[in-house]
Amino acid sequence: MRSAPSLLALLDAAERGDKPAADALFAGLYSELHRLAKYELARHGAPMSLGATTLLHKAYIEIAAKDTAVFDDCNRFMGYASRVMRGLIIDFARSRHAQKRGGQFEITSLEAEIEDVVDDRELVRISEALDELATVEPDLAQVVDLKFFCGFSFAEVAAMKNISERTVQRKWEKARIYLHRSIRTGLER
Amino acid sequence: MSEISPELSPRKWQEISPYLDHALGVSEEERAAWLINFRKERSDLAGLLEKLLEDHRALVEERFLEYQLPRPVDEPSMAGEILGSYRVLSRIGEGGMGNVWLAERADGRFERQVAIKFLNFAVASQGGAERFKREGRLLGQLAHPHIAELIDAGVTSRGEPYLVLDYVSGRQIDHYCDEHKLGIEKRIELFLDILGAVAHAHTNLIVHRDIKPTNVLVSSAGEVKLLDFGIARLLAGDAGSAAGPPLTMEDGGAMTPLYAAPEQLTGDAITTATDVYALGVLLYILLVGEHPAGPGPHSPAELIKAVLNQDATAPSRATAGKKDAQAAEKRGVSLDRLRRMLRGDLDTIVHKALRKPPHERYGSVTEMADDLRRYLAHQPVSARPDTLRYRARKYLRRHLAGVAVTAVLILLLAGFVAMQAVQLRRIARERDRADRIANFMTGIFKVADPGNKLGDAVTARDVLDQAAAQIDTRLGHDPELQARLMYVMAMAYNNLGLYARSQTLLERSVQLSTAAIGADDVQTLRSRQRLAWSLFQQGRFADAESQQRSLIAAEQNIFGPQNAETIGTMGDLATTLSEERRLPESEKIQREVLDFQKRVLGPEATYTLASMDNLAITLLYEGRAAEAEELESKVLEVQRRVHGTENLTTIHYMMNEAEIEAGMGALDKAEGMCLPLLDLERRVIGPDSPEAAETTYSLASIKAKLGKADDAFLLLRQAIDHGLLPREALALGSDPDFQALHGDPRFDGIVVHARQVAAKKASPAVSN
Repeated sequence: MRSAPSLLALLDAAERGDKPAADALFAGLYSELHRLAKYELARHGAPMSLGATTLLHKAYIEIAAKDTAVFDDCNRFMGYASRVMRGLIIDFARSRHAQKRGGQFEITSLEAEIEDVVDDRELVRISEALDELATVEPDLAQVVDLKFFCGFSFAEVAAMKNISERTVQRKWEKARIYLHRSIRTGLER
Repeated sequence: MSEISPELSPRKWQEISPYLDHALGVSEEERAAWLINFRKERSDLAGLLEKLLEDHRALVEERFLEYQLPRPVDEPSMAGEILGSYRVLSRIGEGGMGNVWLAERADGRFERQVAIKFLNFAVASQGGAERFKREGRLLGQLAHPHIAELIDAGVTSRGEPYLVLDYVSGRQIDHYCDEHKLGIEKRIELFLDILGAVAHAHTNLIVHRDIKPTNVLVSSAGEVKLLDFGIARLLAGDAGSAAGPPLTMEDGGAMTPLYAAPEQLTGDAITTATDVYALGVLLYILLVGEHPAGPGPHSPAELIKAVLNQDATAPSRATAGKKDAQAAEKRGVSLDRLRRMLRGDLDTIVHKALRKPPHERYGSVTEMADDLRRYLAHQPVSARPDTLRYRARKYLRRHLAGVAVTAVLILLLAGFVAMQAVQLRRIARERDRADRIANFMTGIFKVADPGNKLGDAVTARDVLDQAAAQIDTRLGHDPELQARLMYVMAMAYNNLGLYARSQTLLERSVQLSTAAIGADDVQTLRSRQRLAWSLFQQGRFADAESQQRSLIAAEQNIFGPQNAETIGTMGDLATTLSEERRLPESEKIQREVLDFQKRVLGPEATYTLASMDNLAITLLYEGRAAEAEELESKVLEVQRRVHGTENLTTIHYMMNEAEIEAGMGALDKAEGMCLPLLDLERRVIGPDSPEAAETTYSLASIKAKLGKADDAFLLLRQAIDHGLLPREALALGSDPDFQALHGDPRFDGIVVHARQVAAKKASPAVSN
């Protein structure tokens, strides 16, 4: 993170609803995650994949090492960074969609298994719906970022947000209903 | 706003959100009842809400958004590349150590598909590449049905090392078990297959170093395969003996030592015990559904602290959270039943595998497997609750290293007195002393019916009490003689377990003989030795130790270091240290003492046997039960041959032997020993003797472990009502040997009863 010392201020401002601060925070975290991903790629010099949670943890450790005062709260960091991570994942999905070649590395979630095939465009639509949901119930959107995009388990999300696992699950279920309506059925405005 | 196509806007969502929360938070039945009411109260929202709930059911069914994130496929691909005799086909996954690709034989000689695993490190030098290939081939010799075969190892032209492995398709074991709702026993059976594989590798001197759920796959046919054997060592590079990479970079816990053993974090030697630890973690996860460090996520710092310093919560107690009902359901049992299944043996087995010091874990994977098989067969396991090492539950019989303890008390007394009488008669002026002894003896023998064998008509204790009562009156003023007789009787009381009486007599004896014959006299020093011993017997170890140390100093001065008396006291000190759990120090002294005694007194001498018995107990405390058993059976063989069975010392050795057997988990054997022993104790020492009570108590604990609760309660009550030492009675509630009875309401009742009886006795012999 280039601008580590100002992160705390950005985070506070973003939490107060300061839009430019939130944008700056997003950009800062984005570039950090991107840089880390590239770094890992270069380090290995071979095709590789990197779990989203791994990347987030690495980012956290790097940032916290630079400024412990800023990120003494890992959970707060994860909440923000997971949103950024979604952006990173969506951008890769989009770029893949746009050009047949060129993606340099991949980001996957939790398990090393063969995934269901998903339409990139649907992923983009989910992201858009999620942004919309974030304006109504930001809490629900964050659960989706952490669980779906970053691959954290219910238990991990519960621990991060200091709420019960059952509550996380209920938030997840609600969010899913919203997203499904938004993507498949369409919301009337 | 029709019911068929209800609208949903962000504003509407905000309005309906709390109701949705409620509806999703209650059970189906509650929800139905609640909805009826809601329809009446909020007819404007009810239609939409029901529609959303319908959506919800469909989404659960469809598993909406529950797939993995898509993986872009336009990276530089290895597909089509030829590596050795293999053609790379497609990527099948990645792990912390690198990517895995599916491949097939390029020369078409076999149909077989393989997995090629690229390791995330570069081999810099030609020598490094050679070493990698060599070690890879070594690992390749590891053939076992539950180990994924390592077919080949190589390095690409770009310097990336890779392994060619048996292609295993399957689910990681914990997921597999949950998905198939395998019960505890089925899980253990699967786990035993893993243990078999690891044991095989260990006999080939290969340590896995990185056992974790993602490395254990179960095929759809239910076959377990262990992956990546020894690969961590390959990754460790040239510092082959140093710690491997315990940091795991997958599973969401980035760079966390989730499955590392303490020695992997501290950089200590990696041994087969390292695998035992990791297997303990794996077993814990299979049984409980979460990591020993508790539900995650854990920061690296938290994990390191947990691995190094915190004992894992016992599996049975770890299942206390809300989600544990789910964990139980995945194991096909109720939460209550799950806790009961885990409590006791499984808690103990897991705990033993997870001990922090490697040498305290199972000595081998096979031992761990044996215990799990015993558990499955409903036999007692060898691992003891960890309290064993730190707390002497059982009151094992210790023996003075420097005195002959004779069981037949009357013979002892008579022999002593007769000898004294003979000696004294030679000296004219001592004749009246000899007469006093003769009168004293006659007085004692009046209580006994001379026509009967000792134990039948009168117990030894009756005789002794009689003698003690008369010692002041019948001997007249003869401090030296009184001191000697007090000493003899104190020994007899000691043998009866009446240590406080023994202590009182010895204190008087020391006083009298110091005054009469001097502090440096052998007799005075012996009385001091026995006095320290009686303190030891009352559990006053610190007092005993300080008295023993000052006595040794005196004896070294007077007799020299290589003297039977000095050595005897050193043996006593070693025994005290053993009870204080200063085991290495104790064992070292004990072996010195034993060396001396074997050399000077002979291998079958009484003191030598006593020291061997004491050493056996120290070995048992050190967790070396097999060595203890071997030693104790040697002791008993000699003791029986030389002194017969109806001998107090023989009885004590027999009690220890039964205790060691029980400690090893040989319950049937121990039970078989206790029954005749109890008979013998009742007959020879008395039905209310501490020995008889204690053997009854041991028998009760064996019955409890064998699942015979009714017998156990009967025997427990008998032991408590008939002579069980108060300190044992008070500790009943926390005695791990009766864990099987916990939860039975009768157990709480008997614990209360034991306390009451112990309180009533209010014996001065209670040390605590």
